[in-house]
Amino acid sequence: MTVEEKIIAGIRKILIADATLSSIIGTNVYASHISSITKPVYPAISLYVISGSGADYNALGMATVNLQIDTWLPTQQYDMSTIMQVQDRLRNILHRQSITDATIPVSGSGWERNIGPVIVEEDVELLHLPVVYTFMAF
Amino acid sequence: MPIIGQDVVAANIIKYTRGFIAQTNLVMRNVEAIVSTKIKDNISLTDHSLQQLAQLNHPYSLRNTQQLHDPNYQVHTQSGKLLDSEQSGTVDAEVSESGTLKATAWVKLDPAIAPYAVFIVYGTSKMIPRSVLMGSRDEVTDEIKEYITTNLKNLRISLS
Repeated sequence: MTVEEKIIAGIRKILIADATLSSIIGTNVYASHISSITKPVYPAISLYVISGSGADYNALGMATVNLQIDTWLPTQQYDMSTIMQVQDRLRNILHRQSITDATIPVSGSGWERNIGPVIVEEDVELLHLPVVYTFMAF
Repeated sequence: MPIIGQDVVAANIIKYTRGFIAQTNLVMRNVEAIVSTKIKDNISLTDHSLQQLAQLNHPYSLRNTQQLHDPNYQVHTQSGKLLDSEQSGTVDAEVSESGTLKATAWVKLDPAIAPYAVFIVYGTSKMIPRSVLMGSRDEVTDEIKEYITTNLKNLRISLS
């Protein structure tokens, strides 16, 4: 398992375990970009390592990963208030928080780096909120 | 004991600060140029036409995601609108009362010119993101740090 995969596994576990997020998205947290998933179930969150910023190993085995965390909500069931609620929750549980998990094992933390605009995909009736986090872990 | 010369000291502090801010603004305009040039380079690929990308089975799509270039956030020029939408600028530097210097250089893709830019940068449910703004900035971060350090360190300003 690479450090990138460990970080994604750790974050996925945190998101699924959160009561507020699971009440909205259930367990639909995908470990790769939503476009790579065959028949994804919405609402969902997908995790994507931004290219060009992958694991940068140093002597300690520490990696820095920029991760885009995308929230996808069907427009027929959800509105802006829900997607902002998800973003607030992501910030509460990920920004400057530990992602350490001995069972994976991964150890590190991350911080919110960029919040994209709320994007409406009219053809598939989806609200999309991309946020970018940087995680440092080993 | 009377204090003399404080007016000269005060004038020199103001003069030095103004000189430093002027130099900072100049440096930030060059930082803007470095980032802007890198972003333009990264959205100016011409080695694949739309027809060729279709023949490759749409490499940025869910059907056949593949890495054509390194870094893979590089974007091909087709209509040229994305390149036209690239804008940049600076915000004049200022020093707060607490002594913090704030200086800004910015680059953006104007959605009024290229409304689809947001889909390229952040992706869609059918297409991977290509984080060309953040990626380009990260590519030149070390160069910018060195440039700023070199041009603001040991700055010499003539005082009275």
